[in-house]
Amino acid sequence: MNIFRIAAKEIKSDFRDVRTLFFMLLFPIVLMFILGTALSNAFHWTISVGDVHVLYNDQQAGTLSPYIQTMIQAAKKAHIDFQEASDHIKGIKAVQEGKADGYMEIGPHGVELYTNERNKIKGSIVEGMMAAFVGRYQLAMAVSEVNPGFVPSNQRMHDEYIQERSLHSKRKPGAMDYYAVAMTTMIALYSALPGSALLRGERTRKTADRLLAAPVRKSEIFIGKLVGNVAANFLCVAVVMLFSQWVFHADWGHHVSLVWLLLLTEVVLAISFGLGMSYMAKTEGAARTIAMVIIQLSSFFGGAYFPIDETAWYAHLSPLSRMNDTIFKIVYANDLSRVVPTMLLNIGIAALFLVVAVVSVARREGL
Amino acid sequence: MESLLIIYKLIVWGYAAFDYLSSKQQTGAGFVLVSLIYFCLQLFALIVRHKKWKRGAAFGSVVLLVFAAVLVEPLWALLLPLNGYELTSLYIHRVWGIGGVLLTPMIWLRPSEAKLYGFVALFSLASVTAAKRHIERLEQQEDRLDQLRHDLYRLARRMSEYHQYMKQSEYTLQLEERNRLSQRIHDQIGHSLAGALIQMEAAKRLMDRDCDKAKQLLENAIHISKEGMEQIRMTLKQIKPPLEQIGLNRVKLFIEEFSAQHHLPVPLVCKGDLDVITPIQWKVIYENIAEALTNASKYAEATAIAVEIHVLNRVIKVEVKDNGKGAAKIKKGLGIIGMEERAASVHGTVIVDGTNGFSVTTLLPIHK
Amino acid sequence: MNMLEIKQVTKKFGDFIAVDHMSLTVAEGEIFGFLGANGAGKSTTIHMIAGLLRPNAGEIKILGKDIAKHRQFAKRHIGIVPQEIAIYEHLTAYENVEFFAGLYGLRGAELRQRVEEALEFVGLSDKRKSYPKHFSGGMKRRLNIACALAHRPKLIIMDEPTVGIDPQSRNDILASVKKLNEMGCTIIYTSHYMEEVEEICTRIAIIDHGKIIAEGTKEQLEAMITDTKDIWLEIRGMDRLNKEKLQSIHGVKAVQCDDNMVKISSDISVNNLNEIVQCLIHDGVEIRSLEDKSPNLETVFLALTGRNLRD
Repeated sequence: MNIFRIAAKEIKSDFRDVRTLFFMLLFPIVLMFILGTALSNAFHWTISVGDVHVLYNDQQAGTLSPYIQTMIQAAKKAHIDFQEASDHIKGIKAVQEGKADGYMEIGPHGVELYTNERNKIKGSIVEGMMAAFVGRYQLAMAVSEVNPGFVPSNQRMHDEYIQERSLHSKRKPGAMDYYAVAMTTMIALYSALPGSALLRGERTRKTADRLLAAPVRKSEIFIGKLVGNVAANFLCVAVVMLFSQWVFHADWGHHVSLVWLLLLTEVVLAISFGLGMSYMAKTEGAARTIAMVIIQLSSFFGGAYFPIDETAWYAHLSPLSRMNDTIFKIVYANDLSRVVPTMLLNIGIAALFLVVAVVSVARREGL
Repeated sequence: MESLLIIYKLIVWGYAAFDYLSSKQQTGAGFVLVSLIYFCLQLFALIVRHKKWKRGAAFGSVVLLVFAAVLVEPLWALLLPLNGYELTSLYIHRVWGIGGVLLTPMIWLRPSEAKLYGFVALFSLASVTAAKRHIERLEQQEDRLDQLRHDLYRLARRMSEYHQYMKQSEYTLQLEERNRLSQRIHDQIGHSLAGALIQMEAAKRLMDRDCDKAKQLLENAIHISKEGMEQIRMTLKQIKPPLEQIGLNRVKLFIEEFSAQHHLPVPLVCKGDLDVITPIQWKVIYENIAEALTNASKYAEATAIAVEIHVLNRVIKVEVKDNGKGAAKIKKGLGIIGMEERAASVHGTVIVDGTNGFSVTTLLPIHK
Repeated sequence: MNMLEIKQVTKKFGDFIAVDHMSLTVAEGEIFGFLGANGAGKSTTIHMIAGLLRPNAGEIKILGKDIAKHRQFAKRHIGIVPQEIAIYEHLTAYENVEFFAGLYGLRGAELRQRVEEALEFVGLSDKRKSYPKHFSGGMKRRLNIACALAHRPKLIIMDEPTVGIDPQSRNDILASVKKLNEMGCTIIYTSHYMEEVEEICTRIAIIDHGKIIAEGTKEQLEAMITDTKDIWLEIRGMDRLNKEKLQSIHGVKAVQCDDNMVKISSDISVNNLNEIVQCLIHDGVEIRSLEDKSPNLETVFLALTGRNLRD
């Protein structure tokens, strides 16, 4: 009950703080708007990935070739080159050596796709396109067995679809889409700032004495404040996200709930980081400065201000690049494989910082 | 501590050697050579006394290990955390700082190696830190034990000194008293008794011849004796010396001596009715003043020390105040604790203040 | 039963001894004052009583129960008014009191009623919906007090509740302290303003360097340093002054005259100022000024420690 009270108070006072609203809501939305519109042109240009080379090997020998041929035709317009590979080994080797960006093998059990890990963007373009193609292909097969007369209409749908995908491959996320994600994840990271003042703030405000003088356990205060702060900041992040979705029409894909969950873990990570920092640094100012510097560096190298080559070594240092990458994968490639590791990593690091904070709190008199 | 580290190193080296031998990829010459150099360096570090050499050996070991890891066999990197700890702990004192430095080589290692390296690094960091803390605490406790033993010895010695001093002063007092008594008896009572005796002797001779004269003489003798009796009474009364005189005189004497000894002006101011101070209180006052003055001469760098004995309505205030450097934070030593204990024995307190010069105030309640 | 018992309590911060073997007893119904300079150990003592700090040695009992063992019990019966204003800027006056009262387990209608009562008591009922940032210093101080009252504590600890406010608010606060006491609360009041302590406290402890150097009622403390008080009068009509008559007034010990100044020394325990003045007026002596040089707590502190309360 006390936990709930403290959490409720935390949320209430956070939302009445003009600074919070400015920092956590207005700032990201304005930035999103400015960067998203001003850089939209430059953005197209910088994101262009060049030609994509794909090798394929059709072992089904012909049953599918009309569809594949139409797809290849359409893909050519989108600067995706398909070339027939002589055999399996050669195809894979070409991908390994980076001569081709993907190798597609159409066997009796379906389509197998090999992409090069080093070139993720191109790889994911091919991946996305093929995922769509395979979906359509299986549908078409099923239909043609039952009622061959239906095939022509499928043919048309097919054509359309590939054209749409190929447009995507040229553009990837638009500027607004990109910055909607980048700003939202960045602002989630900003929760580290209120986090760094979470318990120290009570001390500087002298209300810590009052809280401790009340018949409330330290753990209740700690958990209550943490939960309240996470909730308040997550609400801010959610508002920013919904705003971008409804007003800026940013694309958040079809797995929005997963994205939310991811953002929640990021907020937890950021707050725990700030909290841990406030106990590791000597003064509040120091904790704030350290948190701020780390947030800025993470934002910079995590691609919050402009897209970053996510294969670069420095990109791995930023929790944001991982977050953004995971979200883009969800939104544009329907790839959910990265969600769980990212969430676990966030929670794991958060737990580390929380342990630091808990140990410090337990040790000292007061908060 | 050092032997512990050696054992750790030996274990890790043993693991590396075993791993290396079991894989048997290359000839063992390079590995053996590095092992030998490494052992030499470790033993060298163990033998030399001078810090500079130890540091050099630690640095050399790290360099050797890095080269060995790069050129000979990556397994050598496993020994880096332990030697790195020795080196970095000289410059970095925060544990996580050391940890950060120890973990940095992971960047250059292959993932599978990095995993093992990270494990070894963290494990050795944790265990060495724990051992170090433990040893530090042990040392601290030993130091404290020594200190306590030392204090105990000092206190015991002081107690026996007090004891002796008390006995001696008691004896001196008795002697003084006896002296004074005999002096008085000799001076006054002796004379009266002698006078009366002569008169009575004369009366005895005249008794038969001149009865009246004898009677008169006897009358005289009786009178003198009576006077003598009165004198004895008076003397006994007078012998009881005014107590406060003793107390104050002792304090004065000490202060004068102290002043002469240290070439410091030590003014003594007394206010109020000193008669109400009991002997036991005088004893406390004297000792606290003596202690405070001694402390001031030792630490204060003062050019003047003022002593004030002020008898207020219900309290006696004794203040020793110097104009020296004072102390922002007062660390209670045995001296101050002694003063407090003495004051507490007569229900008083001691205030020590270092904000403006250094002052020791003893407050003793007056029981009326 | 004693509200509070402190036995040989010591608190160290590193080498610094903030509270040094302090012993103290506060009975139920008292307004007990802690008087001492800044840094004397008042706040540390209070924080230990409120359970915010743990003593290094010694024992503290609230209503006969050791707080080390009955922490929650003790906390429930104590209300603390911290030295600095400890309220949330982003909660209204009502919400502030409600939040803290809620932590003491008050719920629903009872909670609302108690909060209203507390606000009413400090005179902030009409400001219940306002945010403290719009408050004056005095109002903030009063809200600070209200936050400690809503759970109806038996022991209220006030740590310098009047620092930095206007005289009117200060008088209000002193009056409310008295009222709380009349309602049955025991109060511990710390201050380095001796006037406040003199005015409201039934018993006072003078604290210096972490020790209680004197304890008792105001009169007892003053009697420690002297048993006479001096009244200085500047008069016109010295020839009409009847010295014998003045000396015959109960308690008067000595009368000294010099030019047009008269110094009357009298027993501190006798209040005879009225009689003295009447006697003078009766004789046709014109009093031009009167100065009461009785000892006060300030002079007691000065006499005992050689320092001023406020440096």
